[in-house]
Amino acid sequence: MKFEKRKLIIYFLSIGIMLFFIGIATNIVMGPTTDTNRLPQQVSSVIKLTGMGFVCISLLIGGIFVNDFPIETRALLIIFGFAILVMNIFIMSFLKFY
Amino acid sequence: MDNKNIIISGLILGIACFFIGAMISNVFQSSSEDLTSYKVSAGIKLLGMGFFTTTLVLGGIINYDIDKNLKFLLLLLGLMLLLIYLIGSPMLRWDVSETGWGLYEYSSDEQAEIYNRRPTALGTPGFELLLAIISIIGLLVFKRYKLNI
Repeated sequence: MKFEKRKLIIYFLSIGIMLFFIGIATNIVMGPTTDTNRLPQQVSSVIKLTGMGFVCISLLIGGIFVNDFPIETRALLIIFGFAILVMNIFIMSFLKFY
Repeated sequence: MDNKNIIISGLILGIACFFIGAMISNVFQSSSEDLTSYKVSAGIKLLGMGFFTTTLVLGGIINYDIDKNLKFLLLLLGLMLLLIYLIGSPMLRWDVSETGWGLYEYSSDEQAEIYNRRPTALGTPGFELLLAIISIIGLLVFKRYKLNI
């Protein structure tokens, strides 16, 4: 099976970003989160983290392995890919819930 | 539809959704009994910002007829917006439980205050301003960088 890496990266990136924002919106639409009802926070976290996972993977893989992008775009993708990954790591270490 | 039209439509849709969402919360004001308009408004606003950010990032990657530097700027601003929302996203949580954000436990008074305050879907007041200032600084840095070349 042949994948066109560039198109795949673009699809995953757009799906990831939309999932992230849908995750934030889900928390408010289903909310508020209370002690007895943690469902909004749980659903929101899963959607947000899935989206962020897609984004991080797309940015890093796109920056490192996709040769179709111009060199400055690739550099930017790698820098932001690492920055977003590091931010996620820090946010998850400081907060009990994402 | 060619790629350029998709990008233009995405930008228009994103910004329009954002302002429509803001109008909904002002026209149909929510109360502590009925929070539907607040939830609908927040959902539309955040989806609008999602469309906008996605379009900015895609505008910097896909092939279409646009200046190379402008394309780079679109990607840079899109990724910056995403990063800002990533950092700000915990502030957008509407959590009135005792554990709160997981940082410390809230008292019942604080819980009541948080319930009434509710995130505006843009985070804490002034979040928009912060976003705008960071974008302008990014733009200036980019211009300076370009001039040096």
